Amino acid sequence: MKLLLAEDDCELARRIETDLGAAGHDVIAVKDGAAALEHALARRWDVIVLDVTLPGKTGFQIVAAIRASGSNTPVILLTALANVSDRVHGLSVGADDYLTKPFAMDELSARILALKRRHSGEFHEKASTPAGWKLDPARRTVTIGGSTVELQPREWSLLDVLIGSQGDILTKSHLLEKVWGLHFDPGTNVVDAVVCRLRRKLDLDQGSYRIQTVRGRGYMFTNDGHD
Amino acid sequence: MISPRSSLLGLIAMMLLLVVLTLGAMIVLSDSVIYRHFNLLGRNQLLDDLGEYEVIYRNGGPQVLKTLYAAGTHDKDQLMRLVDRHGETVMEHIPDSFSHLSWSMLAPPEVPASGTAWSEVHLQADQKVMLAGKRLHDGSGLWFGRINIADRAAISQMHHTLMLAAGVALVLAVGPVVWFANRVLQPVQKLAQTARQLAQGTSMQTRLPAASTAIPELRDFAAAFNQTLDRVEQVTHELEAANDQLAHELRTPLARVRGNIEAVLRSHQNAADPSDAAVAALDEIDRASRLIQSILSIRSGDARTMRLQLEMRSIVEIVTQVGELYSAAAEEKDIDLELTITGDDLLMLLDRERVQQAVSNLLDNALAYTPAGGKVVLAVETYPDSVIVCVRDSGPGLSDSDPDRIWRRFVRGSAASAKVPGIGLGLSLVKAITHAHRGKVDCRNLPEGGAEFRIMLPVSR
Repeated sequence: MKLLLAEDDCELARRIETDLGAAGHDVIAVKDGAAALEHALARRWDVIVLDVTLPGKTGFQIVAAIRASGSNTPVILLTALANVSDRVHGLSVGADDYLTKPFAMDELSARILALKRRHSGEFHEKASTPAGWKLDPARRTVTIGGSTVELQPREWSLLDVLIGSQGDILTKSHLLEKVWGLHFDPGTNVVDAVVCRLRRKLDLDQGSYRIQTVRGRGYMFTNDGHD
Repeated sequence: MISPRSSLLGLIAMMLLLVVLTLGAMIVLSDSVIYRHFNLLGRNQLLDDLGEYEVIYRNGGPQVLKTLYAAGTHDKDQLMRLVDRHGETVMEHIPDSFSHLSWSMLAPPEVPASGTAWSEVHLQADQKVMLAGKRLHDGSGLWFGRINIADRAAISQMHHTLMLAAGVALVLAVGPVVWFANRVLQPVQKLAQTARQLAQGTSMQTRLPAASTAIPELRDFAAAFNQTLDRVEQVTHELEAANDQLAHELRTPLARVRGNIEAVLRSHQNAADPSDAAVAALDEIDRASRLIQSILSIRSGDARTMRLQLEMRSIVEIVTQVGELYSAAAEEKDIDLELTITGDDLLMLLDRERVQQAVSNLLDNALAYTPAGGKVVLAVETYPDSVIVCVRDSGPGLSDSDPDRIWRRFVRGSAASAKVPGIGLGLSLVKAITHAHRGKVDCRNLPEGGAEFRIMLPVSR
């Protein structure tokens, strides 16, 4: 994937570049607003990652200019400004996603992948439904090996998001945002509790599928490889 | 810098000068009016006397005139001269005290054939002789004159009276000037002096002096200003305390992160798993991030600059979602989390995520302070014009001083302990969010034990 990264903090830029590079992406990094806009318009990118407070031009201005040029390349804004209104402003000028510093590197790569998928119209095929599972979205029931469990709405969306990103690590804040629509981090570890309850309900210890806790990073839906 | 004393003296001098000038002008003006008035009076009297003696002469001749004149008391300030038609003096009189005068200096012997002849001779200073002459029926001429001795005495008497009045007026004028200086000018100077000391910032405790002698308006001003200073001082203290606390609270996670990383570096000597240390360090960093985010949100709430993303939302749905979010966590802690709804659900204009954050913070606290086996109730009560969201716990409750101070930044309730994580920002954020929605917060102890925290929001549609 071809990625453009505009970030003026050298240390952070280097880390992002290394991490995304290691994940197999082709990353070009620039350090100021003017260069970012020039690169953004010069060629096709799969995803553009923009810091909001760049020297020269702000990320908001660059997104607006990219959209004004007729391009619909997905853009993620990175920012230390964490107000809801800043996020809304970023999205209203045409950004596709918004990530507050400090963030987990897994979070950034998960969002880049999600954007790329959404943009290129690759939706998770139903084939990603775990083998031997029967999902009924209308009644929010999961049938595994003959036993049917009914889930609460949020448990259902949590499972849906986890299955949808099978094999990817999803951070706590990503789940809070996708499942509960919350952009703040409650002090009590509510996500962990809900994940535990979901595991218990689905009796996942028995089957080959797991919701794995990746310490310090997040959660991942995996198949242990029995089939 | 203007010397306070010089401006005070200057003002007093200026006001006194003004009074003196006014009085002086008044005296000069009155003097001139009085002088002219007496002149006119003297002239008329002279004409009267002349006419009277003319009649006497016509009826009785020079002898009678002479007798009558001698009988009167004219010697002090009157003059008279009778000249026959050949120009020979028949009789003349000049007061003894003016014997140095001679008729040749005073008036010509000839008197015009008709009308009245006038003559005025200034003797010394404003002393003068005024003379009137007339041709009598037999051709002889009569001069009659007056020296203004009595006028001068009267004028000088009046002048003295005026001067005395002016003096009294001057003394009376000093009163208001001194009053003004004492009650207004001096207090203002003291206020200015103190304000300068405040500006130099040597002491925050300095207050404007409101001397009891100052006028009420100035005392009011000083009192109002001092109230402002009290408020500024209080806010400054709070800010300082908050800063100290913030520094302390940020140092704690930093120290732990440092400790964890040191542990990683030492890990070859140590059995500890380096990834344990990294995970713990990440947790601490998240904690510090949350702290900073809370501080920023509370500040914008305090300053009423919190920008809300207002939407029409169902209040019951919003609160229920938070309740569901915490249900698993409550279960894990063996706490019974109950959701009760009283009244009809209603749509209201609010920032969904902020309100959910406020309710989350209350639930965080309730779960943290409620012991295992306890109960937490999340209740929504809707009324036509307001909505109350309460969180009741079965924890240790509040101390007497808690309800007032617990909403402040960095203040943790009496039940707080090292075992319960928290830095005393949660409730401040609840208050900030509620205030941004024009609502109110309160808390109390429940009769059956435990505490109740309430968010009261007005319904705006």
